[in-house]
Amino acid sequence: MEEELKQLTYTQAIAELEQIVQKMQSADCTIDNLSDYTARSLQLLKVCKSKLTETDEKLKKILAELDEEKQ
Amino acid sequence: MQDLNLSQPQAISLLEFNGRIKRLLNDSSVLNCWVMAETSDVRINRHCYLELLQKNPNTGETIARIRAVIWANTFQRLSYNFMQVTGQPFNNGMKVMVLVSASFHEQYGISLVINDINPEFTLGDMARRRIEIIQRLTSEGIINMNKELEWPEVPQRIAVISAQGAAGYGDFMNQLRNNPYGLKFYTALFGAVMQGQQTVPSVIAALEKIGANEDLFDCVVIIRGGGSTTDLNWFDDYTLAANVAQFPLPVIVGIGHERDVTVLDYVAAERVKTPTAAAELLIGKGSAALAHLTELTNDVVSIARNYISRSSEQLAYLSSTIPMAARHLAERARMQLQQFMSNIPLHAKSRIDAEREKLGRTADRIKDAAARAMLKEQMRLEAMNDKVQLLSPRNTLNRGYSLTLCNGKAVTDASQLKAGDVITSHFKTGHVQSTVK
Repeated sequence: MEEELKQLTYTQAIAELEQIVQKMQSADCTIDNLSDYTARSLQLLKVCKSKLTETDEKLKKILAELDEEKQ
Repeated sequence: MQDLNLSQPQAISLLEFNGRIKRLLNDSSVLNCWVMAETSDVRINRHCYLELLQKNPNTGETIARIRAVIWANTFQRLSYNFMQVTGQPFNNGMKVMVLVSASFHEQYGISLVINDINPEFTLGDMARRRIEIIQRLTSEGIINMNKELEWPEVPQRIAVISAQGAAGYGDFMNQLRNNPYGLKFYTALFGAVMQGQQTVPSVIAALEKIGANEDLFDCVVIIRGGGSTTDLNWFDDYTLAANVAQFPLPVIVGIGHERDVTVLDYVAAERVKTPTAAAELLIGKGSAALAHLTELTNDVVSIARNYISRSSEQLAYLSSTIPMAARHLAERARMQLQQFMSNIPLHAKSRIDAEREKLGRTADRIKDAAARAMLKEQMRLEAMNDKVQLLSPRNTLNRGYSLTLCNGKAVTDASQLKAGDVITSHFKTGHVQSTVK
């Protein structure tokens, strides 16, 4: 589960999130799947936020190699 | 030798001939005349030396050329004024309108002395050139291509084209790094010359390098600046503009200042005035995404909360209605049952009646059949009786015959009898016993 979340891109995560929120707002949502939806959406929100605010060291390194200042 | 000399025409010295040319040029038609030309080979060494050209607009071939000079004291005044009006330093490849006088020096030949420049003409020409480039990009259908690209949700991976160590680049990086939202940006610098003749090829080379790593980036930022506003003219280039317009990633251009617009500003996905503004634009996109996330979080929480409270309301309603519903249900079942029960005897009776009637009909049929069978048998018996009657010994006796029995057996042959046998003779009425003799 954690791994799967980490693999998501921001675009994928936000798209799934929008979809879930839409489902939650629709008649499809029942109390049975509510907790699943809520749990998943909060996880996705966390992923999205961390993508915006936490440093991705791997990416940083790749780009640093392209960065001419470091050459 | 002398003869030879005598036959020669009279000759003058070159100096004298050149003097004649010089005197000829002292003519109002070549003095203080406004001329349109293109600058080339501009060299400034206190005085400004250059070449003035005219090119065939279709082929680009030079069709007229002459050396020119602007004397130092004139050049100081003119170049300042030129910069004020056009925003550009007086340089190569510019269309200029210059006030010239032809001047001939016996030693150096002909050249033009420039006494004045009309910077408005150059400005107009720059604008016209810009318009031409824009029209060409428009007719080729590429002018809006970069603008029509879809931005990634949040541009975080940024390829920067700037001069290394430029103040503008520093401003940009500081602004990104110190954004108040804690947004992370990843940048890679692709160094380029941002003024002078190398501008176009070096910016294009940087774009190509980024294009080769397209997947690593969300957008490109082209920034220059801090300091002078000069030399934007280099960005008014068709090839560069076409490159930016067709670049596969959105491009933010932050090379101008308040007043200056280049062709790049027309083709880039976003144009801003300064590197700092470019950083602000990116931060804005990121903070909008963060705000959107917060909004979504609130949505999720409030939807979940609503659901739970609605569900518990529903539950409460149900729990209050269930006993009533149950009673109602039981009552209905009881009534139904009662109805069934009251119907049972009725149903049973009608069923029995029907069976009884059926039975009755069957019995009648049996009776009829029996009676018919009896009658038939009776008639047969009677017929038989008649026959029997006809054949019976009694009947024979009646007619006067008699029956003789011996030892209980009918005697049909007299030879069967021997003397002494007692025989019994039966008549119509009575019988007698006799002894055979």
